Amino acid sequence: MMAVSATTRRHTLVVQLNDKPGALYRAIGLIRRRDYNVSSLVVGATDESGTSRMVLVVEAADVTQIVQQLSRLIDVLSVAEVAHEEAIFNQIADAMRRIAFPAHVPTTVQEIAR
Amino acid sequence: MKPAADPALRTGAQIMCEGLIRQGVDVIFGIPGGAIMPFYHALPEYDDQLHHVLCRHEQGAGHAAEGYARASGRVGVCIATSGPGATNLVTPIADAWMDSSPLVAITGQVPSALLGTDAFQETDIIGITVPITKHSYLVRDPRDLPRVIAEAFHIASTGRPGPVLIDVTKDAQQASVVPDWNVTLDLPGYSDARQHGIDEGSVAAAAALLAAAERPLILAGNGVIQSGATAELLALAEQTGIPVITTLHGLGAFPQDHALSLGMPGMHGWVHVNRAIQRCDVLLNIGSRFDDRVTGKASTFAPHASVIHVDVDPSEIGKLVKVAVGIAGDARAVMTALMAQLEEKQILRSAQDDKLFRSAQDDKLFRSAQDDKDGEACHPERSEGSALQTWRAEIQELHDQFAPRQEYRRRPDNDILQPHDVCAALNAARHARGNCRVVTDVGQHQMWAAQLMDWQRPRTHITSGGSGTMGFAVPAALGAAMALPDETIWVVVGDGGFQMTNQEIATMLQEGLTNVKIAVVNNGYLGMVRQWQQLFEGRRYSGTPLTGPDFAKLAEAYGARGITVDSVARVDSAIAEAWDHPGVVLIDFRVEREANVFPIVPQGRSIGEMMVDADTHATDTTPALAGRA
Repeated sequence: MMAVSATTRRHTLVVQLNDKPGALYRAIGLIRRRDYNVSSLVVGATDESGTSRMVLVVEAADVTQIVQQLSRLIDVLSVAEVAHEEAIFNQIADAMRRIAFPAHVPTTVQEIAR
Repeated sequence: MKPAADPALRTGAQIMCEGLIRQGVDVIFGIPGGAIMPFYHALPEYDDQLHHVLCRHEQGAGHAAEGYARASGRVGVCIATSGPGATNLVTPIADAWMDSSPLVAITGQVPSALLGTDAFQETDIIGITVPITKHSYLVRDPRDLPRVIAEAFHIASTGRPGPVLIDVTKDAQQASVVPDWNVTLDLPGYSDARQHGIDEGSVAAAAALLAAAERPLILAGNGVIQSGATAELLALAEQTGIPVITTLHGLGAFPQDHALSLGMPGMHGWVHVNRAIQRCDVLLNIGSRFDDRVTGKASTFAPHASVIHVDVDPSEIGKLVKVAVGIAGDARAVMTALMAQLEEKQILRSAQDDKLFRSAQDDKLFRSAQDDKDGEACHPERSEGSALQTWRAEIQELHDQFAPRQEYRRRPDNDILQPHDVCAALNAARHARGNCRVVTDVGQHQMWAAQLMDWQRPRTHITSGGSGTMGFAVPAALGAAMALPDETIWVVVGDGGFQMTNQEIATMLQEGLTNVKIAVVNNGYLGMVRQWQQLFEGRRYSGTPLTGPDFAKLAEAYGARGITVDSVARVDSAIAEAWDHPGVVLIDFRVEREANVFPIVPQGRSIGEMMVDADTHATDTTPALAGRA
């Protein structure tokens, strides 16, 4: 059997999925099945209606198989493994894009944010 | 005055029936219960189009639906109530998941208002089956049913087939709506490999590998049968001259009497097949998933081979065995593309060193000669001693070296009925009679049948492979018999597995089926476990000795015919009697109790290491470990 090796590291997966009951459960179930630990999980709606985005950090030696098996789920629209730092940046950027700026904020600032 | 009801109004239950009929379903296997009662209330209205088979246990209903699917290639449908009805379906759903059988399981669920309250017979069946279903639906609104049913059948039957669960609350079955059958499938997250083009670059890479190969092999699995690609496989093998191995679920994908057919690999595969795998330089796997029963210790599997893996499910590629080329796609489409590439590059014809050519029918390297049926196909000049010819000669040598040791031999000192006698006699009768399917259960008899019977056509060998579900065979045969009323369905089952689900004989009788014949290979043990205990645990027979009722009398009690056979002399006549009797027949074959399946690769070992000792009594000898290839 494959032992939990020292090479285990954190992987960040960005998963687009249908915003439906059970979709998250299916996705997370795959991680549990491999006995990988989820060290962080953020799920939220996206600007596309009916779609949510899950940012998942798992501790694993290799997530290739998980990525493929996630892609196989009918409620999963896309899966990408991203570099950890890049993921954090994207989350911040994503949050920035969502900010409903009050009218007094100069448009130049709003544009930079976006 | 009350306005007249809209004639288009339907209850959810009626919509379920009509949805099934629209999917071409004409038989369903199930058992009613509280939460599915509205569906059963509607069912009689559709009796002429939708036949319900009342099973005796939901597990039986599930396996029957699987047997129906495996025999016919169509989606099998089983139905059960909530709670225990649904949980009894879990085993067949898992079985269908592991063996990629198209199955739609429908369960009743408690009324919406009670969901999650631990209501009577409430079980979160979706939660339970998430890891073993391709997809599942909880339906609370009958308006969703037309779409859900259409999607479920699409998902179950396309791509890599598998089980889909539809859980329908009781109130959704009862409520009346006007169904909208104008359904468009909108499944953006579902990638069916058959819809996408095949990556031509990968196909070209595969063709190049095959062209350069000196010791190539084809490994064919269930995917070939599922894709209906047996003709393409035959053409590919014949036009390249590459020998073909068929996995347990690939049996029938390639005619086993063909000169290029090597047989089954793996734990109970033939030694020469496993040796060939260990020595090959290119392994083309079409529609098999490198199950551990095939590969043995995966890190030692095919150590010299560049592996080409063709699978309709991209997530299988590279899962267990490192591949040189992975091609995601339907077996038939990929083989067609591959042949086009081979032809375009004139690999088949040019072959300066004659690596790839078809010549098996006259190179006399294989045990049986195959008639040259299409002599006009490309037939390049060949030189004696080509690499491929040498390779096939080498495999033949291995075959000749080990076959006599594998061949079953009667012990000279007794005439105890051997399980091998049963399989051999059944095989002979099958060839004489034709039109027959064989459904096996799980255990020793399953391996004997796979080894000792020859499999020529797809869907003639039906068994539980990946999940290894004892109790599969009798209900699966019920389903196969419903799908193929004009064929004889032979069950080969052990006395252990038979005692798990034999209640479905009652179902067969209620259905008036006459085409099921059951061969119980009765050795009074849970034989495969006993064999392991004998070989690897010092004959510590813990939990394996097994008694049972008089099976022939049991069959008679069900209203079938029962025959007991305990001598070699009676085997053929009993099989003939069963075949000729217009009704369900059970033959209780009382066989040698401690017969073993050989060869065997001990679990976790390389397939290069096989125990080949065919002595049925291993007490007096230490089974020799053959050297590693």
